Amino acid sequence: MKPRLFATYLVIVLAPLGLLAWLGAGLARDEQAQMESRYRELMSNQLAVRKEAVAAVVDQTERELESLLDLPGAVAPKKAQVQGGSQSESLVEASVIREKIRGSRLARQIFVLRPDGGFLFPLLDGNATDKEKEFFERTRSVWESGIRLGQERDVAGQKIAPPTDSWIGKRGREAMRTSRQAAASVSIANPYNAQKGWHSWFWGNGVHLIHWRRHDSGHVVGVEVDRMALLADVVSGLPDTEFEPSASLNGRIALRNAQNQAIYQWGAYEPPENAVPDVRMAIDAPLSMWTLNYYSTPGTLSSGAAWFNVGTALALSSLVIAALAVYFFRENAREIREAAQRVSFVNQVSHELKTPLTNIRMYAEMLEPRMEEADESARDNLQVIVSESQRLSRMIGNVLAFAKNQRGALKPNPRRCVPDDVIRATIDHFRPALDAKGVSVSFAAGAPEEALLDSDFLEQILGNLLGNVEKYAAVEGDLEVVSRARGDELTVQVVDRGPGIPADQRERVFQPFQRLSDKLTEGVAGTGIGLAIAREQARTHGGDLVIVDSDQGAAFQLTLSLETTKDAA
Amino acid sequence: MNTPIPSLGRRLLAAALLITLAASASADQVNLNVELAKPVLKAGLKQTTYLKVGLTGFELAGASKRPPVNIAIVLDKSGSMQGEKIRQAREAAKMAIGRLNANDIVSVVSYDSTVNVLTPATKVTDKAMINAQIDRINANGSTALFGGVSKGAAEIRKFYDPKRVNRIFLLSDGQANVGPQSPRELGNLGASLAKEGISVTTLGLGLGYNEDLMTQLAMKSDGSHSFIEEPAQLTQIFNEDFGEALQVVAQKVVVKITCREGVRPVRTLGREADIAGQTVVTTMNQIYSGQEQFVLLEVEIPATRSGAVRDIATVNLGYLNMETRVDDRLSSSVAARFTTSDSEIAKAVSTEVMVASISQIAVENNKKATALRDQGRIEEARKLLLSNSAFLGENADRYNSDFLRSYRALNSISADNLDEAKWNANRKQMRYEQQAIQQGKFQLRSRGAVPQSQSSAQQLQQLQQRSIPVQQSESPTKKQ
Repeated sequence: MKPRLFATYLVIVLAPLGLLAWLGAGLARDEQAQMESRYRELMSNQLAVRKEAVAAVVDQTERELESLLDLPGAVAPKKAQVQGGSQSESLVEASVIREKIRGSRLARQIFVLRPDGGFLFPLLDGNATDKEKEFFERTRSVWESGIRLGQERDVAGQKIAPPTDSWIGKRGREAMRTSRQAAASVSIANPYNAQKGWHSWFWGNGVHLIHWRRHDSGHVVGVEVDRMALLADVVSGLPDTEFEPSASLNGRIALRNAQNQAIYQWGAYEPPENAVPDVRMAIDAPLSMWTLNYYSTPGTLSSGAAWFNVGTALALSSLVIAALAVYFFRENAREIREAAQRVSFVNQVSHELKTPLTNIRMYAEMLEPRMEEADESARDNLQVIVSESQRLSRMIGNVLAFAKNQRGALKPNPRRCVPDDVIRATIDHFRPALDAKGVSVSFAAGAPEEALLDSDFLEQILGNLLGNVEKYAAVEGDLEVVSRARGDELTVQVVDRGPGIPADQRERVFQPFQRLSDKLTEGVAGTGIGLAIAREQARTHGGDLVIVDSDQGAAFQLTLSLETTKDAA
Repeated sequence: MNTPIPSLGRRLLAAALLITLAASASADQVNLNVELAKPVLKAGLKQTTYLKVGLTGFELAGASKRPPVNIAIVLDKSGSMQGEKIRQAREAAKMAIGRLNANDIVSVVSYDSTVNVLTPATKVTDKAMINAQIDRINANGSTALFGGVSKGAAEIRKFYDPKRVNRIFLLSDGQANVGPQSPRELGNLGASLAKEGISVTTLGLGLGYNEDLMTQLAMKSDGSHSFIEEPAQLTQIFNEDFGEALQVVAQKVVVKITCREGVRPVRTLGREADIAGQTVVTTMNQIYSGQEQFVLLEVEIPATRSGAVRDIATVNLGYLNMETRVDDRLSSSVAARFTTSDSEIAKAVSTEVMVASISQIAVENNKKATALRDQGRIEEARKLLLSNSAFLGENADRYNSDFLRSYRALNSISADNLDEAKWNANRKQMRYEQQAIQQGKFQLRSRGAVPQSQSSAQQLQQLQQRSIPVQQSESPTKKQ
């Protein structure tokens, strides 16, 4: 009883708690997701500001380069006509251009293309500087890709012609091979009819940029941007950790290149290696292979706030539920205690009643033989006293057994006896009362051997069965008692010819305080515990008490386990 | 006039005296001296010789006359700088700040994996405040060297003025591992900074830094590089290098050498130059007071008949005079005489140009040896260094040059320290020596803690006792 009760209470407490936890978790997740999206939005905004800063640097670079793309001396129509020009002419132009390159930190090399796509400057004649030779090595893939910067695509799809056939050295070719992404040239403006644009390509360690402009004459002037200078400018356009301390940047922003290496970063938080950024944003063209990456400090996104709220609510409600459970448990326990007290009271009273009753019964029975001479009515009166006191003692026995069972103290106490003798004695007890009701009892004895058996149990069970016959089945006829001992089992059948018990009620009659509420029980007194205690006694004695099918009336079958003493005797 | 080599000194002193006499009325100017290694050449032969364009900075009238500086101090504060190194670095930076005055501009940048602009470019009026910012620097994290230098340059640009000395001082003990990190890339950054007139002085601390990267950055930006093996040396060396920036007398220096018809420029030694046809152009960021910077050009001269005099080249020099704040333009030319007399040729040989050329050739050999050692070819590297040493020794005797003797000793020491345990420190010292000589310095710091063999140590000691001016004091121009 107790563990089951405890389990029940546990379920009562845990079930709502579990439900609450589940709902709360859902709520917390929603809130979490909402907070996360708010944070991501904030981070995206910050990145967008920085992206603009990079774009501004690129714009500034473009403006600075504009002046370099203006080369009136070099692209004057007169000179253009002299394609390939005389050496002195090209020298003059070249020195002007070289002067410009020396004076511009952003320009690594300037080049001029003729309208037909050939190079006007630099040329790989004897006058090229080492830097110009290196330029052709770096840009080889650009010209080999067939790109035509702002020039009409010619029908043959001819490539921009390198200045001479052997214009690239062995070193350059090797560099080309090692540059995996050499072919990944990207042109920003439509190269076929735009007036200016960017062109980017991979060489060596990273992306290189060309900014070019097409002049009305058809000449194209381009500048190869000094990658490191541009990078340094980008860095100076972005904040440093000191300027943007953790107050406004809760984490780390890293500018990464196409190989995902950090070019520049700021923010006091140091993310672990291979950390996944919370937000990533690509830079605008022509640096679109670069990304800005935001790494927030752990806990910014997955802040425990929502979970803390849910946890608190959960703890509070579990406290309330637990308090309620304790309250009801105590109420229940009190009731149980009171019921136990009642039982114990009845038990004590019954004990107290038992002694005087025994005396009454004993003296009445002792009186009986001495009343042979007395008149019939006096004998009858005595007979009534005896049978009523017997009935009363049976009832008290039942109550005491019930109380014992309640305490878990109902235990058989086997003694040596002959079952048939016990049965016969019990029947004899009832005979006068049954006779008075016109019930004739027949006993087919089948257990004559001595065995170990609690005779009190057997007597009490039989008493209850016979008492019931006396009470309910006493309208007519026969009562048949059959005993049989087989092996270590004693079977006793009590079959009456009464109204019987409907099959669907058969188990109910064994429930305590249950009486079949119909005409049968009307006007009949009883405690309603007789059959219950009888079955309980039979079961503790290793047997059972059941109702079996019979043609007419009720047929109770009692089994008890025996320890036969035959072998021992 | 500081001249480490007596013979060279006498010549320069004489030259300077002449200049002073000639231009006594006008303001100070850089001394342009164009000379051939062999002013008298063998007749009837096509041959090559060296042409040296020497630029010697005039003496500043006084410390108060020095041009104002615009300086960014960039300090590595990555984890490896912890302890003694960062403490010394802070002291060195504060000492440098102490030498500036209210006309100067300074910014302080520190970097680990990210960059901190601790003191944005500001006039040096409140030294205590700047020093307090320097004291905040604590070492941790990795090294965003590129970002640090870029930010330093950005601070300098805020108050950029060609009439100031614009310079970044970079102190690092580690590799660059955030942002561009190859020597070539940092060299390109240096070259682009040089176009703006910003030089980078790099100071490599300890044995963990990338000497190739630091020397490339310094050389391409026309700054200088120092190897500081022990933190204890830091304050002194930083101070010396810092003092260099206070000695600038000319900036935006452009040297244009135009070779005459028939004379072919072959290559430059040491400094890089653009050679296009007959024209050779090279730029320098600055000329220091009392120091000679030079361009060495190998020229091919066609066969000429005996007795003839042939114009070889014209040199045009342009620079911004930091004292007068005006652009100066100078020009000079050089001619060669041809003879059949060997003795006449030998008599005319310019010791000064020969020593400079031999030094540069020795540096090229030294670099080749470094490359061999990098490939693990230790024996070949050792042989090359020893033969280089012999080559230097031979010429040292021929031209009686103490500088060549000292570099010869340094080459022997390098040859002795090629094994794994000593190579790291040795390589850093070699790179330092190479860049210093290429930058035209005739003063080399001795090898600090690099172990030396008995004989070469003695050699060096002897040399030092005799005359080698190992830089020791705050004033690199101290007269001997």
